Amino acid sequence: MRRLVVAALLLAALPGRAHGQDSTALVLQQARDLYERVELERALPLYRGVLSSSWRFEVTQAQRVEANLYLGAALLLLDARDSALVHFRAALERDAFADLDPSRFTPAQLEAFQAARQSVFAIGLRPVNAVRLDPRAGKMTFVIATTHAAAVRGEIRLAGQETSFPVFVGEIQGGGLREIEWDGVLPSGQLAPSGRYAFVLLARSRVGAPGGSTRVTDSTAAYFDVKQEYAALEDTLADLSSADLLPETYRASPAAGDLLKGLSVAVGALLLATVASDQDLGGAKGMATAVGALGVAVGVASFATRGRARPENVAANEQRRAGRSAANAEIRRRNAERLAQTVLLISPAAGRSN
Amino acid sequence: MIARRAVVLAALFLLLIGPRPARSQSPWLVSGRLALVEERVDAGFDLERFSGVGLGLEVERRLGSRFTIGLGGQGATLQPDASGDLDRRIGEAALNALMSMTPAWGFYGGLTVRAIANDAGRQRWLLGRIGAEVRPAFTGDRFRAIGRLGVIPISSVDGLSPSSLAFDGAAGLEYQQDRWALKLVYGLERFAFTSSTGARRDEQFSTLTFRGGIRLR
Repeated sequence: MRRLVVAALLLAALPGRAHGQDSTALVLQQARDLYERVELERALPLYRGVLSSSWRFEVTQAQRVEANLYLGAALLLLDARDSALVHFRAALERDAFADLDPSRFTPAQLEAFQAARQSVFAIGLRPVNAVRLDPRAGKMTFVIATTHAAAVRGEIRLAGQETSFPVFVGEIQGGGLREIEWDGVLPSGQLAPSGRYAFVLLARSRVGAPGGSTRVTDSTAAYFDVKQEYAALEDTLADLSSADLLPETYRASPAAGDLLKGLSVAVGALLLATVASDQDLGGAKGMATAVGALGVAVGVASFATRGRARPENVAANEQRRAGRSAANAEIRRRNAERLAQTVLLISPAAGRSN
Repeated sequence: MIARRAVVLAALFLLLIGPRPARSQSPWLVSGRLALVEERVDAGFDLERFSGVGLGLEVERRLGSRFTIGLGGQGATLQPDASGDLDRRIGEAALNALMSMTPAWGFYGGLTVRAIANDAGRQRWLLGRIGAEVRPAFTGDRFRAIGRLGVIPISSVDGLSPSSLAFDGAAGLEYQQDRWALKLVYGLERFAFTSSTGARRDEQFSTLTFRGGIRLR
């Protein structure tokens, strides 16, 4: 007792909060050394001190679990089985992954720990690891644990949405670890879109509610972010505007202009043959008439085509539309190829519920 | 003298406004010509009229987007209307240039060397002309109307003083496809010479020319 007080005083003398965890770790290391030397009477106070509500230093979850496990193990060696079970259960309730190393603990301790597992129900879910997931070749893994046999349902929910889909529904016989894999694909067959997701684990004990166990169901969740990564996509070509297309019919006003041009040719030829020609020599009216007649014919023919379709422009426009469609199809094909190479960047996100 | 000054000024004007840089060289256009040629002459005695058919060849090349030059030749045999006159043979070579200010109009100019001969003698002509040409397109750009009017400030003819009045004009139509072009043009050249004896001599050439050409790639 005096040594415990001395140790506590020494630890209390260490300055600052930054050393809080170090202080707890120091005491736990000291306690573990004492346990290993089977100086159980000296180790017990140290573990109890760490677990005490009056412990003034910061204690992590893992340190509490370790303290409970060693305290339980030490108590069992001191023939205090019930007390040992209490501490084993406390460790398991805090961390369903808690376990005793068979190479370092006695069969009696292991048997007691198993008994504790049967008497308490807890599930655990390891944090999601950051991973680059190629849905065509790999899978990401969720590691879960239960203290004993349980019916388990693991499902993925898109954060903020009600919909979810199961990735595992089944039994975990005897408890322990289980790995659940997910390839990043939704039940629809599509890749999971970018966003925040939660892996939700629901479990029901198959052991029931034996004495000492007050809980038969448990749930926990881990959040993670999914980000799709793919090469930049190309934009498709914009629709052809009227400025990009040729007029497909002859319009009235140009047709009237064409008629005027044809008539102008005729008038010009006749003027050359009359006004411009030497009055004494006379003009070649026959030649002028021939050209004038052709001018009028072309003008009238052009005028007559107003409102009619212009097959050459229709064909040219069809060609332009076909070219655009082909270009867009090619762009879509290249985009599809790039999307097919999409990988998912998985990263743990803040948030965890039990 | 005035005529030469006009030619020089016109040449300077053409150089100043200059052709635009060529974006791409257009293909050559090689054409054959079939022409009805009519010559009317009044040398103070009576109206003499000769007519016949001429054949010719012309090569054109577009330089840049505005400038087109052409070299052509034509020969024709003209028969007189009056039975007492002799047949005339006309041969000519011409170097022409057209500078388009817009697709619808431009300026033209050219030099023509012409020889007119009959069994009794031969006369040599040298003509320099300049003028304006309009070429408005019909809808679709296949057909173009052609109208031109210009002066012939250089008119040097053996045995005659330079013409006091010399001009030319034309009206017609042109049809172009990608590879070939057709043209029908009525042209007029009118001259008023003074002979060495001081007598007035009016001459007028009228032509109805059909030209068919193909573009070389």
